[in-house]
Parts: sequence; structure tokens; C-alpha cells
Amino acid sequence: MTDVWVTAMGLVAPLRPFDTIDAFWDALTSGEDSIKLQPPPLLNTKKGWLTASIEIGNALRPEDKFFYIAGAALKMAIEDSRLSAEELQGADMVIGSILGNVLSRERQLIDGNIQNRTVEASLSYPVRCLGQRFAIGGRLRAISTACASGTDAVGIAARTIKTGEAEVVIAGGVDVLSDFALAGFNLLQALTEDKVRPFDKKRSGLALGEGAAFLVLEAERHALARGAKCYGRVLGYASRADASHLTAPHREGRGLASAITAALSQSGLRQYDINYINAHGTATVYNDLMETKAIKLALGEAAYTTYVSSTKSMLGHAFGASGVIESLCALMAIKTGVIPPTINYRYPDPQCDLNYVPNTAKATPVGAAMSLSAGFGGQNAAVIFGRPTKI
Amino acid sequence: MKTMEIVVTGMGYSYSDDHTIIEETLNSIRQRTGKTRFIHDIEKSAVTAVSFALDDAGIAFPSGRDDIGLFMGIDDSVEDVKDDFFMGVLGNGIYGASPLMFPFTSPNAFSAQITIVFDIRGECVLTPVNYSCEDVIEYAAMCIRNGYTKTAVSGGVLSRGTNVYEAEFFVLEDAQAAKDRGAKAYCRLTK
Repeated sequence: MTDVWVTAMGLVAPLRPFDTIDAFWDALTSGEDSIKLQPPPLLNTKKGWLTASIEIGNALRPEDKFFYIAGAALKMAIEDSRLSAEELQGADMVIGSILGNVLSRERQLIDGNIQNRTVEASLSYPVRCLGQRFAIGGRLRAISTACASGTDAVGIAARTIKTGEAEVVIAGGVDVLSDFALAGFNLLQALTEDKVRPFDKKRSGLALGEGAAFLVLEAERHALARGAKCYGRVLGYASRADASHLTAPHREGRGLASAITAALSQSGLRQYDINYINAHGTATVYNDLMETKAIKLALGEAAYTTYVSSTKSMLGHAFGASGVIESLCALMAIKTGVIPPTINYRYPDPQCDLNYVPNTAKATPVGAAMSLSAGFGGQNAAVIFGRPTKI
Repeated sequence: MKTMEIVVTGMGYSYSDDHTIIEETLNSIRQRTGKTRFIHDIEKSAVTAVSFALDDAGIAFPSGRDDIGLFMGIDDSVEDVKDDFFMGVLGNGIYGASPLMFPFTSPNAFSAQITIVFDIRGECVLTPVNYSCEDVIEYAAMCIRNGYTKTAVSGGVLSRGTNVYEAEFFVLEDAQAAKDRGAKAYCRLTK
């Protein structure tokens, strides 16, 4: 099986506007908080919500945001990759999303247009639309595994290359803030009215976010032949089901621990080789406890010497995009030797007793990093990245 | 390297309008698994079809195994659920949304329900599809071939009109493993 390289990245995310991944990374590792009180995208309500949103200006309608940010992030990744038009024509693409362009359907329903659902609302549409727009001519695949969608997209893309079915696969995740999601997560009492405080004893819930991120994955021999740069390698990936509850995680982290163990086994690494984990870290009471238990179950004593941080404390929860954004963060930690912090951390929780990199970034060499995702329906996914091969 | 041959050892089909068959099957599943609540027609059809496929393949459930994976496709059927939920929000305000319906607005709720009912703990992938689940079945076969899962339950649910759904699932496994456990093979997958 061939090695899988990550040869390009593209991202549109909250935080102050940035043109490059390095600028995003500087803001993130300085602990910038993008979460603020804002109205829902389309509905008129008196109440505001703590969200992390991307400004698109007044020239575009809210329902245009999905394809605007997806297109911008994919363009950035393609330019970064320097793939030729011919190479793009042969590339596959996998995109993870939970709700797709939900705002376009919301607008239709608000306008009373119930019967004529447009194709734009279809979850299989974004990957087809973006594939056509950027002339990506290989297999186009959509993934919707709740909050694990992005991580699964990266993992499935890597497997497609590893098993020789493709040379280049673009993996992405896109989701936008919607009234739909705000109403639903509000129902579940999962939204915080305080700061987002992952792993803190006084954590009180998540803030919804949005974003689009793309990674270009490539077979090593293909990347070498065209002189591509390498941000890192995909070493292992696994998906696992809790088979437990429709909305709550398995209390002992059974599925996530199994995913970590399987991904580690594929990577050929040992537990102590993982230097950094970008956690799912939503700041809900149950997720953070479950995730801590899963990491300890899978890594044993090594869990206590591994840095674990939640970038959702700064970026909010970007649904299906979060797995790709956080994979990008894991790769940047490897590249720069800087681990982003978990901000707003004040009171240690005796049950969440790992090193969560509280409030300030940590400079340390990172040889291997893992990104974790867990979602509705007991979806779990773990993906492991390693340093570029020394040529 | 010897190429692994993938065979189909179980098949299950369900049509949401076949109410009697579905209710009888769900009652039987309730007795075998203790799972009692099935809400949506998509869910009922999918669970029924998977139970037929597992029984046909001779795979006992609840499984409790993480070497069985679920690879499922679903078309725009799920958009009906999302519309119903959001109409509730529009009708009753943001606080009037249905807590029972919200989880089903995420398409993977249906694959999740299958994993919960049959206690399938392995790989779990939900792919939104246009009109065919062929691609997700190919991915399932690739996962078996490369050792990511031992057995795959793969198929999906497609809409056949307003609130009418068709669910079809297959059990896939390595031909040698199927032979070793004495399972029949309907056919082999050529790719």
C-alpha cells in the first residue's frame, strides 16, 4: 500500500479575515476567540446566540454562503496544490456535510414555497456542483455522518489512495450556521450562554460555528513525481459506531476508544508516539467526559503525556466541516511545532484530568497528531497524521 | 498477494407501504433485541430490511461485534423530515421545534438506529446518494478487501414517491470466511 501525503490545504473559517493558512494559524495559536452574540441567519428573533460566524458582507444573500465559502476554500486548496487541469480531471473528491445548503431550503419554506424543493438542498448536490465548477473529473462522493462527516471524508479519501483506487483525492467538509441547527441544538439544551470551556469543570455547552476546509491527498509516488510539497502523511483512520443512543455519546467512550485503537493499529505507531490530539472537545458535559475516558482507554498511561486541545473553544462547532478544519490544525501542529490552546479554561475537572493545553499555545515538537470526532447517532472517527517522509 | 473474493451472503428488502410485514418484523425484532421505539417510516423500512439480510446470512443479532460495519446510502428522503421539522419552527417559533424529530434531520440517524437495534459496532458510513447505492456497496467491498472490516451490511433507502420508501440491504463478506462458517453465497462481487 502506498503512503498518503497531504499536499495542499484550503480553509475559510471564523477568526479575523485571513488569506493564508499561516495567518489563520497565527490567530488560532494566539488564542483568538471568534465566538460572539449574534442573531440567527434568517429568522427574526429577539434572542441572540453565541456563534462563530464568517462575515460575507452585504453583497451576498445568507443562502449563498454555503457555496461561497466552499468555493473559496476549495480554490485555495487547488491553488496551493498546483495540480494541473489534467490532474484535476483525474482526481476524486469526498465532501462531508451534515445539512448541506440548508439555508436555501429555509428561505424557500419561509417564503411559503413548500412543494418545489430545489436541487440545491440535496445533500449529494454540493460535491457534484463543486466537482463540475472546478473540473474535478473523478469519483465524487458525499458523506454525512453527523459531526464526524469531515473526519470520515479525510479517512475515506486516504483509504481510496492507499488501496490504489485513486492517485489524488480532495477531501473536504462544509457546513454553515442555520436557524434550523440553532433551533435543534437549543432543544437539546446543548448551547452555552457562557464562554465555550471544553474540559473545564464549569463547561456548559457548545457554540455553533461554520466553515469550509479542504485537503488535497495524494499517493506518495504521484506527489514525488510532480515535486509537490508535503504537509504531512495520513497514517491511520477508523470509524466506529457506539450502537448506543441516537443523540448521546456512549458514557464510557466505547466507540471512540475503539476507533482510536483501530487507527493506531493501522498507523503502526505505539500509544506514546502520539504527541498531540485535536479533540472533538465540544464543551458539553457528556462529550468531554466521554472523550477523556476514550483517550485513556485507548492510550493507557500515554494519555497523560499527550497534549489534548479543543480548537472549538475558539472556532465553535462547524458541524461536518469541523473534522477537516481540525485535521488541518493537527497537520499545522506537526508543521510548526506549536499546539493550539484550549481557551476559556479556568477550573480543572477531576474527571477530565488530561493535559488540555489551557489558555496558551504550547511550543513542542509534534511527530504524530490525531484528530478525533464524535457525533449524533454514536458516530466516531479518528485520523492520525505523521511528519512528511524524509526524502 | 492473493486477491480476496467478496460474496453476498444475505439479502433483505422492505417497502414502507407493506405495513403488515413491517409491523410483524418490528415486533419480532423488539422481542429479540429489547428495542421498542421506531418512529419514522424510513427507519422502519431500513431496520426491517437489515433484519431480513442478517437472518438470511445467518448472522445472529444483537451482534456486539466491531468487525461488522454498516455502509448505507440514502437519497433525498431525509429532506422530508427536515422540512417537517423546520415547518414546526416556523409555525411555533424557535422554541416550538419538535425534540422527537430533530435527531432524524441528520441523515445518519437512520444508520445510527440500525447500529443501535442490531448492536453493530464497527465502521459506520452514511452516504447521501442521488439515485443508486452502488457506490457505497463498492466502498464496503473495498473495506472488506483491505481488512478494515470483516463483514459489511450495505445498501440503502430510496424514495419511491411522497412518504414511500424502499430499503434494500446486502451482507457482504470474504468468500473464504463465508465458506468457513457454512454460509451460502448468492453471488460474488467482481469489482
